Amino acid sequence: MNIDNFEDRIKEAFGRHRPATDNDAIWENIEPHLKKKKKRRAIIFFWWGLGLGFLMLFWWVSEREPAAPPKASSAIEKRVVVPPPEKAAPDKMPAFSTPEKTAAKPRSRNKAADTGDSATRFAKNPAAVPQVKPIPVDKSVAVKFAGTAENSGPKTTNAIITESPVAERRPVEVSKSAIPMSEETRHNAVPETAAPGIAENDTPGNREVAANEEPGNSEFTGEGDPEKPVNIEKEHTASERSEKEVNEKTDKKTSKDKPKEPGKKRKKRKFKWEEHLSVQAGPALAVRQLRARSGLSDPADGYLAGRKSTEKSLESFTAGFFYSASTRKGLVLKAGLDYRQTNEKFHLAFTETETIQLNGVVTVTVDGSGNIIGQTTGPKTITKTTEYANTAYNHYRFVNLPVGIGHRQAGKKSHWELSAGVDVNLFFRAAGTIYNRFNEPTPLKGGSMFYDEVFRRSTGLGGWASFAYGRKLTDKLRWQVSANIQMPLSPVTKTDYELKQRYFNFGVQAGVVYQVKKL
Amino acid sequence: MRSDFNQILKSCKNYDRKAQRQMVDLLAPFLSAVCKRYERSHPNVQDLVQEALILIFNNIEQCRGEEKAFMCWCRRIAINVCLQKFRKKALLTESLETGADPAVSPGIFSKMGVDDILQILDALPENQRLVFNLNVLDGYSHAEISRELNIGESNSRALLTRARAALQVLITKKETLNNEYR
Repeated sequence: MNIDNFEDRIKEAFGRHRPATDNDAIWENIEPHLKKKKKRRAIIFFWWGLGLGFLMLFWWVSEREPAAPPKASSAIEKRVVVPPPEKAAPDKMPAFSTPEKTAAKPRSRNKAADTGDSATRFAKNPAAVPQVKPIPVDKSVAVKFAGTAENSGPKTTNAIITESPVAERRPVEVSKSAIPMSEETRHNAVPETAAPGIAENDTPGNREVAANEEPGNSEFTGEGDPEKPVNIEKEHTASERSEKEVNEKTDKKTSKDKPKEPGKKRKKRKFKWEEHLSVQAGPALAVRQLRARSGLSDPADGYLAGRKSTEKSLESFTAGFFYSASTRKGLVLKAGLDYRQTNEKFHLAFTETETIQLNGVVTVTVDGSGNIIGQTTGPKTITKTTEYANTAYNHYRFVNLPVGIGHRQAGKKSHWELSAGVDVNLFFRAAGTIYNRFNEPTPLKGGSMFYDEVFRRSTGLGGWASFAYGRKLTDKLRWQVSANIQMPLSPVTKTDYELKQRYFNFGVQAGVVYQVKKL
Repeated sequence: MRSDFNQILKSCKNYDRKAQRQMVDLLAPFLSAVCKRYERSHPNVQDLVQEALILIFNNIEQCRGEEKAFMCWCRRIAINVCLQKFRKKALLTESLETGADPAVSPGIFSKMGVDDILQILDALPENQRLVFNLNVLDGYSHAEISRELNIGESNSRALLTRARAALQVLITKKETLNNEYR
């Protein structure tokens, strides 16, 4: 049997061979080094979400401010609903609106007769007495009644009910009816006003009041004669005219009243943000921290020295953009995206020696005609020396999401800003060549086993601080230079890797700041 | 059995500790057999197995296949771990003279157990043992061996030839010793 059979025999033997192992001891030793379930993606999404939420908050705050004026008018509306205490008796219905009151004016001139008439009529026919029903008052209806409380005078409940259909047909804007009508306006309006058209002003609020109308109410419209025809068109234009006059006056009054209202004052205290977008880039000095991780059983002194001797930090640069919002007092909130790259040079030179022993004929001596006249036989030792040199450039790339707070002082021509905060690393990748644990140059390729053993995918949280100074270029554009410092809280290497590797950056950046929104 | 293994493998990919413990029972003897061929000292074999297991469990997501592919992947990792340890040591040096090709008695193979074979392999110079293991037992080509061991392909071939020759010498010696004892 030759050696090939021997090899087959070995293969066969080892194929079946399963030596006994102490699995419990093995498990105890390896368990602390095993990875736990990954939460990396969730963490990245969390920080992305936080950043987006922060930006949305800014957007929401800035978008909310223009909506303030309509709110002010609604505040006025609410106040007007309350009737003047000296005129509105607690058991009475709300007063009529201006046009309806003017329609009722002729009767009020002959008030005694009117009331007497209706009283007599009700006495004669008790079924005709309209019942006082609480009208379901929504805002628009209540407002309609509110402003003319002083003109309503001592009207009876009956009168109120009979007038209510008229009131509901005359929608009057809140702010206008809110202010009591002047005597002059009232006087002018008196002879012309009567029941206005229905279809034209049939608003939902009006419909609601109409639903409460009693069947007998029509008797009391106009001069109290149900059969008397009403010139709707004429009355409508007249009422419109008077309304217009009232509107003009009331508008002036409300505009004068505005600054005095407490609700308005509160609005002024709101934060107003000045928003900026800045783009900047510049060089940085990357200070590398490479040291052995304490607590690991295997001292990494030799490895550390090997890596330190082969890697030389060259330079670093950063580029990024920021969105910042500042208040009048100078509070600045910032968020942005920052790209940072650190370049290193990996240089390695070593010599490998290989010794080979030769047996057999080593030297041959020949005569002039080429015949072998003598020879020496081995063993002879040959030493083969090979020199290796390797140079590569390593790139460490970071994408961070900085979020911070600071103070900004801006004048007409220049500004300065001091800010600090935290940055969340969204992405980290290293490329190039480094020494592995056995002092061999090993390429760094994302996804390779060696890379995964050494580097983390994301380096986590860091801190940053920056001082910026800028000057005006145009109304909305400024140039800016800034000095900044960035300090990662955790290394770029994994926790079970024997070395800790971190990069601190001290940089200078230049760029432009665009004012998106002014205070 | 196969479905059980795949179930454990799936759970291991989810970093389930119980499944990992079960996988240790399945893998440790297999990895130990691989590492024993590369490492002479027994305590070091256990270290190598542990190191290989840590790498396997922490990178298990990268293995896409099922049982057979997974076992091949594990064996490869174990071999890489052994080679890394080997690289840590001194550079390859030749220390054994190669002699003539002695004839090998066929009867000796049937009497040899795995431990005897390991003993013979251990007697080989380290570089020859490595090349023999990689090429003959683990099926690496000379190109792959040259990459792994950072040597030339021709050097790898030469080492294999010498390993084979040395093995024949060692087997003959062992046979002679056995005969003397009898």
